[in-house]
Amino acid sequence: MRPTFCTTGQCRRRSSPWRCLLIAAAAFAALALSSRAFAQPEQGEPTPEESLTEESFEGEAEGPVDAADSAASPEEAAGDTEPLEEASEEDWGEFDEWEEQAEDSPQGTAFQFELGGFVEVLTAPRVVRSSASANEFVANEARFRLNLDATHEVASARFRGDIFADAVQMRIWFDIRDASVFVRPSSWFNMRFGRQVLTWGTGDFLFLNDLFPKDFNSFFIGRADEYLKAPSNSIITTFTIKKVGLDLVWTPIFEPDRFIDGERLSFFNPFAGDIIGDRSPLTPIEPLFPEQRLRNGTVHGRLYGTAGAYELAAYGYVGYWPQPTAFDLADPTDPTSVQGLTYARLAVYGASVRGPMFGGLFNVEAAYYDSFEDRDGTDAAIPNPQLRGLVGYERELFPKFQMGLQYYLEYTVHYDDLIANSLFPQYEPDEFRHLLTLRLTQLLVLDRLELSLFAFFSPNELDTYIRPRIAYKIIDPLAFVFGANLMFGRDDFTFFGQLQENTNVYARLRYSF
Amino acid sequence: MKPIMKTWLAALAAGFVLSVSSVPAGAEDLKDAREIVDRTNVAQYYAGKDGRALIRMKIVDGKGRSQRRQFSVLRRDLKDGGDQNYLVVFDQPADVRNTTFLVKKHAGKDDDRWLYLPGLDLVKRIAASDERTSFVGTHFFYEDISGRHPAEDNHQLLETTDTEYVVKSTPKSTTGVEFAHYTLWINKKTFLPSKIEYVNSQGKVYRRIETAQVQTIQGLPTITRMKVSDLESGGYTLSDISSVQYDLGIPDDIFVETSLRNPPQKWLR
Repeated sequence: MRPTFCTTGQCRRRSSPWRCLLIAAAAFAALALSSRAFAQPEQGEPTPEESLTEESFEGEAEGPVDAADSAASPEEAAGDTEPLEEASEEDWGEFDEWEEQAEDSPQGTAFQFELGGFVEVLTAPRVVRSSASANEFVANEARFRLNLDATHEVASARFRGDIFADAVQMRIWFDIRDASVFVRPSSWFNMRFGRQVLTWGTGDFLFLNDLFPKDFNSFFIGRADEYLKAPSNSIITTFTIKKVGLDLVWTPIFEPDRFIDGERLSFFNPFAGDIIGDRSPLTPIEPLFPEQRLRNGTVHGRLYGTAGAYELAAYGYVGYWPQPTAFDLADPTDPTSVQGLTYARLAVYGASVRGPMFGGLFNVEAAYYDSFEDRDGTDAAIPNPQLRGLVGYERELFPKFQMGLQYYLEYTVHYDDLIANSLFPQYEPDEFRHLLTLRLTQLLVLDRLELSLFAFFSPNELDTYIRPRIAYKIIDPLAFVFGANLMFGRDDFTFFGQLQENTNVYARLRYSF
Repeated sequence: MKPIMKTWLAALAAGFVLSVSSVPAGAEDLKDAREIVDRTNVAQYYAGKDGRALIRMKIVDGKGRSQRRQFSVLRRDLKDGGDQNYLVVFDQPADVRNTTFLVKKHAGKDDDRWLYLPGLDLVKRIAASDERTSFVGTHFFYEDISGRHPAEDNHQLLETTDTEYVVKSTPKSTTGVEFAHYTLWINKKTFLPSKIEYVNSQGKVYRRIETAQVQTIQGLPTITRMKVSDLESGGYTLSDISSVQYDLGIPDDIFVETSLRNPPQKWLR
């Protein structure tokens, strides 16, 4: 097994870890240098405009009393307000200091530079016996995140990079989540190019028309929600005309999901007929990746607008299935000559509506997964086309208590042909896969304490995934999260049932800066 | 043809008389509570055609622990006292930096609201039902930030002092509101409230909003410091509003989804 040092696109496999580190270091250095270059002239000599505005503001800041003395009518009364008894001088004094700090930071017409991030530790032990996995923890890691932003009126640059020490896989990972440049040449057109995280669609933890890469490992091991989305190297262009927007995304090199490959989390493998994990010689799964040619890139589109309070959108996608669900055959004419997994071609067309209803919000979304290499469903090596639908409703039942319900359906087209040709008809999902989800969220103590529950349940597969969570902001930069990922199922081979040996609890502590 | 013309002229004349009669309102005391509240609503939430401000908040809970919030607000009015658009860009605390919030406020019906979570690149629609719950963990409510529509309450002028109108407002519908009524002390000249007290069904004042500082910016009296107190827990939030500018010419087309993802820097700095 070849060690994979980092997870960024350029270094997925086979390339040296040092190349990856170098790229990241260069990116950090370039941004740091550019920030200094942009920041210095501003601090030294403010532009005439800037000093003018500041002066005029200072004049006004001293204004209330003066205005009351000199000017007539409305201004006269402006100064009348008596100081509050309860709010002591010290309380408001803090704002003056705060203001001074803010004025020290460079602002104005040139680049504005910001730095932030967090340090986080996560531990997530399995709480069920696993025969497939040797690791007793699904996560045990310390993470450092650096956020750098350089913003300007027409262009801005963004960097989000993670370094984390992973005690489960005994590696240091380097993961650049964002390294992109945004340009707004005019009010109706803008673009962002580079590495970035992209999302669209109306589902809550269910994605129909969003074919951007996801990281399912992160989702099931207690990492922050944002890690469910994986970055891709893409170009997004947005055209806005009145109330209609058009987003076009091109990912020149196909970026698949960070799927469950057995190394960290165990899953059901039909060839083994069992749940396999890091003990199995079959893991980690290394699928055959499409050749890195421009014609193998992916294109995503979305046309969206509003009609009154309702949001309407149409979506399109041409690329690959985001997970390796096709078989790589040694002999293309023999469906049993499977030598590995690969990605089949896919086009998706869909639409969504979202808007207010009965004091809450409802959404409807549908997508047709046109698995065009196997439209008639007879090829055992390639997944069948599917129709996917979603209906959702959410509302606040009591103050700060939010409830969300979703019904999701996956209909496999030409199901009879699938079963007739499948290598593993006994493990194929049903023709109609139903899924219900429930979200409950309660915010307490001025939003500092969040109790939440998210549950998936499939009435036909009889499996469930429950995500209870308590998040508490101890003091402003410090937040603590305690939760669990509970997977159960009647069968080993269903969507959530196959993950049951990964059931875990987790604790996460984050310090933001 | 003729009768129509006549009616039209009559209407014009009536309008003229009305507008003339409203001119000396500044000099003479107003008698109509609804008119006072309408003018307060416009003075407080509709200053200029559009505006920009930097808002800093200090939240102190009942145990004296404090937190900070800092965000920029862009606003554009579609109609005075009517529809408005807001774009809010968070800067502090660090864990919500670059989170943005878009509100399309509709007078007389539910607002449309969206929250953008930058980590997930997710534009989340928010149900409008929670107008009277904490705004980003402060003691302010959403409604305190974007205004409560005057038509939602019955207003009664209790008292007219040398400097202030005292108006009692009672909600027409009690669903979604936690108060039995509230009292406003309104400055007669600026039409800005100096104090608002919320009374619960037991007749007890449990919540108070006070104006601590008013400045005149571009000729418009503007509240620049406010305090809201939760009298039951002893907690309070101080709000400081700076860098206020009106009538910048902020176009309506920035209040769209793409601005949530990429806030329009041109208008924010």
